[in-house]
Amino acid sequence: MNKEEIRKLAAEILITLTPEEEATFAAEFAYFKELAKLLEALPNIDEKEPMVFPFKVTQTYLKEDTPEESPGAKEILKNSKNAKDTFVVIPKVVK
Amino acid sequence: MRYLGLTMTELHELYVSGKATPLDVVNEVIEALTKDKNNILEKTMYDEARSMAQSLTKVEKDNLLWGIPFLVKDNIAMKGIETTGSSNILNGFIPLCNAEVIDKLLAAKAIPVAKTTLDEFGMGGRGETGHKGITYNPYGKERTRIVGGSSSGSASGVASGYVPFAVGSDTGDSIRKPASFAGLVGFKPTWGEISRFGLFAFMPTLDHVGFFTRSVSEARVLFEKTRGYDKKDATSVMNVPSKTEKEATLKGKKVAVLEPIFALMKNKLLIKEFHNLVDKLRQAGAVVDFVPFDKDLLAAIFPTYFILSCAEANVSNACLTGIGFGNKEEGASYEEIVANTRGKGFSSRIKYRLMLGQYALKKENRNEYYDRAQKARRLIVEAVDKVLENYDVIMLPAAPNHAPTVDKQSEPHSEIENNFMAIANFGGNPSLTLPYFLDEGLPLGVNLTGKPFDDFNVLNIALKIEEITGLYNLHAGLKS
Amino acid sequence: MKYEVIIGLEIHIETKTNTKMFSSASSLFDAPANSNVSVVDMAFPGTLPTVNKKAVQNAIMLGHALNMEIDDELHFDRKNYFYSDLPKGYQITQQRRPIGSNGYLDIYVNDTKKRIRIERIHMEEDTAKQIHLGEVTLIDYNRAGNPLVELVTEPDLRSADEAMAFVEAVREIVTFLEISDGKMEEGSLRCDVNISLRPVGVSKFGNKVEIKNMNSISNIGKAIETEIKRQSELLDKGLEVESETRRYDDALKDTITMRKKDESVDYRYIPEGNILPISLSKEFIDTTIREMKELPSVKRERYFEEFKLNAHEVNILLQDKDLTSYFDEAARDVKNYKTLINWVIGEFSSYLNKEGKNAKSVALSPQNTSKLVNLIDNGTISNSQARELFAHIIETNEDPETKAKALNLMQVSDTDFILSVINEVINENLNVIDDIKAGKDRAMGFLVGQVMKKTKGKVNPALASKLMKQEIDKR
Repeated sequence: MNKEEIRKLAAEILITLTPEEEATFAAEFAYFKELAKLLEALPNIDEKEPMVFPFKVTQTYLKEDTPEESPGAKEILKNSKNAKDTFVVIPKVVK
Repeated sequence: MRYLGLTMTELHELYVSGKATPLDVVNEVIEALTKDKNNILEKTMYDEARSMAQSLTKVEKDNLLWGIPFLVKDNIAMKGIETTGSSNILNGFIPLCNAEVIDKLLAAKAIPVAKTTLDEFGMGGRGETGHKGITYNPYGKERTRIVGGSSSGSASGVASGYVPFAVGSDTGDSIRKPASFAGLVGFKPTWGEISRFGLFAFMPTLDHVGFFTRSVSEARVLFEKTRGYDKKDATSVMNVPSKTEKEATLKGKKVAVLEPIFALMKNKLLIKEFHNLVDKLRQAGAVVDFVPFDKDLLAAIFPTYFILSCAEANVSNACLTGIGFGNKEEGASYEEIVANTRGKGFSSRIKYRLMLGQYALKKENRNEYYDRAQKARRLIVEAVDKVLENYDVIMLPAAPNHAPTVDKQSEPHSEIENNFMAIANFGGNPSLTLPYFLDEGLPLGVNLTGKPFDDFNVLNIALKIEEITGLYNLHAGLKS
Repeated sequence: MKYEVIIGLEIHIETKTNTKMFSSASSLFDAPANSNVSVVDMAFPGTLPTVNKKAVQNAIMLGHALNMEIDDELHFDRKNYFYSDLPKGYQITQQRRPIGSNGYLDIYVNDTKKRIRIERIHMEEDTAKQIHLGEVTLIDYNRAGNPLVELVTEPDLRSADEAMAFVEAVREIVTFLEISDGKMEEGSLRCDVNISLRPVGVSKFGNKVEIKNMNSISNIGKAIETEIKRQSELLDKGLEVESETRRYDDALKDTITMRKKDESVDYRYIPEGNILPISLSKEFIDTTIREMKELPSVKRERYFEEFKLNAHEVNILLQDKDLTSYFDEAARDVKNYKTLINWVIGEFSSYLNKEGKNAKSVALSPQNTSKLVNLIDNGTISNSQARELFAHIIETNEDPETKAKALNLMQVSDTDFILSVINEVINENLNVIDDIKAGKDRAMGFLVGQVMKKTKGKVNPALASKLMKQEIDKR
């Protein structure tokens, strides 16, 4: 993967990379590709059904539509450094 | 140091006979923790622990957990206590409610004393990558060996004898591998048995809550106390009851050793001791067979785990932006704030994993990466199920060697013998590691993996093995 | 027209529940900012989603009304993207297994019926609300996690009228089922339009343009019209229509480019690993459907077939769900549906409009309204007396018959009395009799009017007319 592609990938998940990290990632990626090759080796792998849950089990529980008390604006926003009064405030977002 | 290095059962006896109070014990635990040199601690709860200990005045004779101090891996939420996932991006984050497992332990009057270090967000197997740096194994020369990961601090703390148990989590082997390096019982129950509410998600369908203890019977007690349907967790299983067993016995039990994995072992002592154990099991009436297993599937275990977990970690951690919570960095726009927060808050390793995960999910790649890994998961689980059709458990050395010394370079190591325990995460199987011998004073564990929902059977077989090895309440000795 | 217009719609409906789709916080988002937000809605690490039963029932009802196959197992997925109104960094939705599939809705445009196929309906969650103020954006998470149903049609619509009729039909269904307010102006019903043109006779679809930001059904029509014009002009010139997203601007009454689409967004869907498949029992689905409110289409049929109402009357009724409920309730005890409908869309609706009231908040019960209407029907009171009586009881909800007696508003049907008044009027207007005999029938109305005047409107006009004619013939 070249530098351009690496930067683009990082930008997609909204992270910044240092120049060292950019340099190191290429090796990580090469390793990743090697790992994927080991999957290719499995016979008829692509015909197999993907597995989501570890075993087959269904549930029937659906939550009753009864409200529970919320912590309130002050409490729920206390972990946000962007909180001002009862809102989270950020620089204007362009759609 | 009267109360350290004791099991739950021993502490319980002291409480019942009036020879000690929870406060006595907690004070000693705190003193020991403050002197700990293995870098196991995240946020401590000493005041809260003392306060809770003081409030426990009426001993509950039938409750083994009453007044028992414990440690909690820092990816498990505790109300009002900073919980960071051992990542800088969550420095200062204070959850508003307890994880369900914590609520259950508190209801049983067990006393949480401190949060412990982990590999950042559970992504690691050596215990070196949390934001506090390396967590050390109390075994071996001081601060020279890793304790494994990702539940490093919990394992180290229990192995030092500070507390009889700790809560951990296991997504690929994060309880069962450090248990091996630290001479502990590490138990990961069937998926869905213990509620995941409050466990920071890494990969939901592989994540499990579990425990470190120094006794198999105490792992069972913890399992019984914390398992059960939780309607806050839509993967909490309610319909399939765990099969109970009457008395623990090895007679008629069938044990499978996956021959191709065992064949990779090189440590001669390990091989010898394992064969010894096999003999003893057979003497006790168990059938132990060395069975074949597809080598390509074995080679696919780590790639499947790594690809899936990178992809899912990428998604699970997409909420960490610094906007609604988290250790925010400055920025002139939403994108800048988020990118700076994540860029600064995540370690390099995490960033690489998330990027690889993103790559694995992209439209043009996912056939060969994420989708294929999901398919490989099914192949592997089916193959494991097939073995377990005819056997109670699969038994193998939990690690090919004792705890390695601290390395500069930290992985990943993709060798089959280092990563096979992920099969119990793929299939949600109950899986337990317990110590079976010491190699020049350094412990090594054996791992048992059973059928989903057959947890008690696994625990019982482990109990009999513990009797055989006599390695009960093993700890590294407490250096005063 | 040289081009065929191909339109598909994506409609998002906020469904009415007390709590959110995946958490137990109150779904009332018109509350102080961030007061209805749980740890789950903020996406705190370790929190988990649980599925709201009422939201599922709303979706089942809608699916049934749209003739869809209901999936008896619920599966959810994650749609991944970063945006400031999306706390988890993904939205929980249903991509692989929507709760409803392969349905249809019949619409009527210019009395022509057309069947529009519906590809899917699925459940998902709403995002937080953002308020842009100068240089900042304020985020209110009250709305984050509220239940939505997304409806996707096949590209079966061919004109602005058809599109508007479809959205109106959906709006009608969701309001009558009481599963949504269905108000585009308030955002409880949102519609995106996908539109392309192709020369008539060509089978290949043209490039699709997505249009967003229409806040009324009429704006949907306007947006489609301007877009048809824009695309036609391009195609006429031999230019290609670019695939893009445009937003409708109400001030300009036109659409403008919002973002170019060189490729569709990659949402990297993965299954929602925090929710096991949930099986819906046949009993649950059947009970939900059985307990549904009556569909407007069923009402329509009843009104046409049984009540013999006409299209105009039916349309007025069905535009107001509360008025319909009131009417249905009153219709139970009424003798003549026509009289009732005239009354309801006449005097009753005037009152509602004048007072700015809603049929639900009127004091006069439907039962008493039907009693009043029955009194008109059986001649006990005249129409003008009824209006007077109505004014008295509309806010007190007194029994109409009792009140009419008390106010002496009963119509006089005493034949002898009427005949005496008639003869009095005739004798005072003998010249008019000659006009009538000469063939000027209009004068009859005048004479009857005189009878009404003399009796202060108390006489039954139909009877008076009849007797008047009778007396005139005698002369």
